[in-house]
Amino acid sequence: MGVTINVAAVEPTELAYERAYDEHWPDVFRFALAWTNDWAAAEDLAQESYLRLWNQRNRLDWSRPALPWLLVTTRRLATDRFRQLRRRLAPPPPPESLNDAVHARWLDVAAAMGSLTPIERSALVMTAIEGLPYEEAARILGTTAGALRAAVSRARTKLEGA
Amino acid sequence: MEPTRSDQILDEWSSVARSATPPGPPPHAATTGVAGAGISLAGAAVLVVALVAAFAVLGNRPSQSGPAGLPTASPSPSPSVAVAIPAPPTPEPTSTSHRRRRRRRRRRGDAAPKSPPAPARR
Repeated sequence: MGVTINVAAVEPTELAYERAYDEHWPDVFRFALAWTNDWAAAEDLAQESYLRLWNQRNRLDWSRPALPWLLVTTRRLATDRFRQLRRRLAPPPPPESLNDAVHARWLDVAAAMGSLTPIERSALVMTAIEGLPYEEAARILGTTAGALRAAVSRARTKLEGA
Repeated sequence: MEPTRSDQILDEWSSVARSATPPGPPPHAATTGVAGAGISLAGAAVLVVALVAAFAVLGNRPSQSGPAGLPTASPSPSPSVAVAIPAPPTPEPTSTSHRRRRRRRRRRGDAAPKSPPAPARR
């Protein structure tokens, strides 16, 4: 017995939004994780970025890729001073989405990455793990390619001594 | 070639981070599962409780305006404020009225009284 979905009743922007969620949520989450070094905060940020995308869905040009918009929005949300203050006042509980084994591994990695600044972590993750060109990563992080290279170099030096 | 310490950390970071899964269906505006929305709902609930409590306290207080909302006499009279109202200035006689009086006296044959000395100007 198949379930029929009335596709005609769903707006095109709504479909595009759902597709952006399915395709890019892991990328948005990893970017948020690199910036915050905090699993629960990264999940929270990713959800809030998608809420912003939902609210803006009728004003966006969906012919362009949604990922850069999402990453820039995530960075802006992450640098929000009120958000930082709120998290400092109320430290988040351990994330429920992590099982114990992965949580223990995450704590080790987070400790090693903790010596890096958000921009150093994000620059390193975006270029070394996600494989983004320096220019594109710099655009998302709101800096120049030269500054990004310097941040990556500093990050590697710090990690070697970690 | 042996991987460097930074490469090992990044490999582990990537492995752990890729185990993350979306927490549920995509969030929509109507979804209130976000922490911020939860806080605002809790704040609204606290506000409603505070308002109800305030109305209850005010409702139990003895009324100061007497039954049926009529104003009662206050126990102590309110102090009256004495306001000094200056008297309206009397119009000074003008030079034309002086001339008329002199003419009338001349007609009657009276001698004109001496006019008071003019006040020295400061």
